[in-house]
Amino acid sequence: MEQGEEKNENVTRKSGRRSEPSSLSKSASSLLLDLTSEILLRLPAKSAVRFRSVSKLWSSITTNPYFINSFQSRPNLLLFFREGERLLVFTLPQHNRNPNGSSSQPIDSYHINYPNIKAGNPLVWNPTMRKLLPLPLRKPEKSWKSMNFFLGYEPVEGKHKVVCMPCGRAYYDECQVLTLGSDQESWRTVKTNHKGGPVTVHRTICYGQCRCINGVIYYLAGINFVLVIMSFDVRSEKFDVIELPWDNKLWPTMLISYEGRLVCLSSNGNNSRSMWVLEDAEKQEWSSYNLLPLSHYDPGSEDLFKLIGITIDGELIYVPNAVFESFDVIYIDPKRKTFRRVGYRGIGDKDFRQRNELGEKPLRGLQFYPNHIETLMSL
Amino acid sequence: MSSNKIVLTSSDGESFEVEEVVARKLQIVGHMLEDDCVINEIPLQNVTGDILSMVIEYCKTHVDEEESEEAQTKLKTWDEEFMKKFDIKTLLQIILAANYLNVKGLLDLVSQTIADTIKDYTPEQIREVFGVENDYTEEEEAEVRKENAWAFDEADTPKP
Repeated sequence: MEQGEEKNENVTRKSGRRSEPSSLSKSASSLLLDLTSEILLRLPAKSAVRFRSVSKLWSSITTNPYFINSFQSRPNLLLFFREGERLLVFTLPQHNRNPNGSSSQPIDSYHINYPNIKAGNPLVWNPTMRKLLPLPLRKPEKSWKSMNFFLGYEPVEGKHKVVCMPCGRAYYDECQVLTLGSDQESWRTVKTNHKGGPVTVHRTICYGQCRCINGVIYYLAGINFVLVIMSFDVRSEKFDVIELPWDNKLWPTMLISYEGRLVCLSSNGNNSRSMWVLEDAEKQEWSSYNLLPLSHYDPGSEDLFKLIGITIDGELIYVPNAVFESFDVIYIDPKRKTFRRVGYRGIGDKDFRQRNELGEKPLRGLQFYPNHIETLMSL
Repeated sequence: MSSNKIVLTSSDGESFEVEEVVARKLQIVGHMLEDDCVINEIPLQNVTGDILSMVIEYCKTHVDEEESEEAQTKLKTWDEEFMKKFDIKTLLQIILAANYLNVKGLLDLVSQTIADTIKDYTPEQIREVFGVENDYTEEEEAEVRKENAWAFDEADTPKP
């Protein structure tokens, strides 16, 4: 039942009740400055930036540092993909059950690495402003052939740091750290210094395998061929090891952040998945529960959709592997066992393809990120 | 206490008799009542009767804000339906009233509703609706548009 209803709900609904603009009585035309600012703060970033060309006054409102600091959108679903030299970026409404709740962090506004970038040439960028910032960072260590870059944020001093470590077969006991926005932006060597021995990250880590939560970067790594979760405290720059809470029959598939805690999804290689919540990092206490597979809710869709994370309300988000025309996103609440399928129109349809000269092929390599917070601030 | 009636009078002379708990949702009224307990008629200079009646409707509905999730969801649905009744012109009058009468919840609600309504407007439509004078020269405006070209890029926006 719910599926049918949700299908009608699409991204156009909000703008559907747009009314015809008409001129106003003089009382409202002198809408107080702080009320105007209050309204502009609640716009999508794209609209707020577009309205800079309304007048000098409106531009001064949205470019003033207070506004730029306070501007923070509700959690959105970010989508971008490359087409030739172009990068197409979209911010889609994420259908949160409770749109006012927010446990997203400033880290959710930025991304590291540009899609398909040459290895070793990292970029930090703010997808909201379509700007790559700052200029490409220098490759930290020439001898490292392949490496991973993590972007971390520590909330106490409000600093972003980039952590770089080699990956592949080589074991390592140090990494390179760079503090963004510091006077001398340069790489520093930080020793991993932990008792368990050298750590190796076997392959390039993708988005799902590292996560920064409340000032700690978590990522998957191996010590003596045992898979562990490494933690890196962004402020103190100390590493720690968190053992996986299960025996080796399970495989960690994704690290996600939920309610400020680390959640690790695991799979047994078949269709069974479970969700492990790190309740206490020091004591290494986890709680877990089983997830029903996607096929339980929507038979046939398990090969067409992939899990990308969890909303601030605790719903798992599944997005399509390829987009042909309009597409659906699936939201599943594993605790309440609810299923919603929300249609997004407009991306990938005929009109859209024509405008963007995309031809008729399915759109692949789409990168979806949940809980994206729009910010006007550059790093 | 709570059964006390207060009369609120609008700038155009319309009177509304409401319970004190409802009137206190208007913080401007709350402050007046603290200053002198015997007031039972309050003139409100900057708001007309038709707008005041909407503010009162909001306050009546929000008079006991229950914590339960169910009650919150119900209120949220009511808020959405309530806001759907108004065009942008009325919304802008309500925001002024909510600001003057100091009704925090309504101010938040109406700010968000206005933002949702205008988000796809062009700068020209904004000027018209908000009565803003364009003080850019032609060159300056072209320059600002160029700087923020991506924000005008239709191709980039999912459309119906």
